[in-house]
Amino acid sequence: MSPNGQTQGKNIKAPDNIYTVVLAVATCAVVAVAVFVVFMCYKQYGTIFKMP
Amino acid sequence: MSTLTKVLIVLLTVSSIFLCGTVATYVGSANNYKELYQTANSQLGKIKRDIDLKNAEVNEVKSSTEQAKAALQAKIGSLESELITVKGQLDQAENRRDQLLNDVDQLTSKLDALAVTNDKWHVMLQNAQTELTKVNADLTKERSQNKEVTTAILEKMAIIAQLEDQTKELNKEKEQLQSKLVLVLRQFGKTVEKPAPVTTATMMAPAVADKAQPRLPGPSVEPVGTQVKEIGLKGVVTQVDLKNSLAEISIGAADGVKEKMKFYATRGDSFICEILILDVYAERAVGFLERVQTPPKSGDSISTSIGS
Repeated sequence: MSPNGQTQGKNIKAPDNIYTVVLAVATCAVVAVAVFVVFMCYKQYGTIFKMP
Repeated sequence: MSTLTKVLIVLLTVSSIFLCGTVATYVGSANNYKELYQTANSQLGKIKRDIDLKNAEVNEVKSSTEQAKAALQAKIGSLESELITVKGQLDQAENRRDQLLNDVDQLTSKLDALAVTNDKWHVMLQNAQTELTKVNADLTKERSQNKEVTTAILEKMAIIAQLEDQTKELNKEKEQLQSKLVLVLRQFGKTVEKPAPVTTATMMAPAVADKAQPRLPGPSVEPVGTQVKEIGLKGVVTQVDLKNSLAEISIGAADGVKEKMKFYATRGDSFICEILILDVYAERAVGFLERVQTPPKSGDSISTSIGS
């Protein structure tokens, strides 16, 4: 996963940073879904964790 | 970074994205159970209120139904009693109907007999009507004759009334003349005697009078003419007052002496004087001396006529 490996190998290899981006995207998606779930819970039941 | 790590990163990312999509889809499409609960709860309350209202209506209807039931039961009781009475009346009416039917049968037989009798009476009635028409014609003729007779009677009654008036006037004149005649004759010692009537229509006996003929009003038969008779009073002179030419005689009003009556005084066969009566008492009278031939004295006889 080092930049030296990309320049020395024949096959095209993605840089390591792209996996970081992928993880960031996945994290953002998880966070967005969590925010959405919280919003919907508050909107419909008026609370987040308690039973109405 | 190893390949396994990279693979795990990619798988983790893909699975997380898939899982996030699934969760977002589920949450976005999930039902709002709180709102559903509130809606259902409000509908439940409304339904409960409707149930209460319906129960109240049912109770009202039940109470009214019970009242109506009680009224109907009372009415049924009265109707049953009326039914009993009506049944009794119906029985009586049926008995009465049977009696009336028997009466109708009897009356029908009598009616047949009456019809026969009615035919006979009808024939007799026609005969009587023909006779009645004849009698009416005769009655009309008699009425016309009766009217003529009535008019004649009225005319004669008018004449009779005139004659009665004349008779009354003549009677008055006669009474006046009789009173004058009495005064004149009294001076000569005479009076008027009423003769008995020859006939008196009013004195007829009822049995003799004809009742079939009505009596018409007319003048009663009065005695016609007068007869003169001597009074025939006699007495004596009781006292003499020659100064005043007065004398008292022994007879008075009880014997028929009246004022202005003239007496003749005699002594034996000789005429003495006349005495004109002035005052009359019960059993004596006083008179004035006239044509004195000889002075009278007590005991001289007096009379209303000379020579009697």
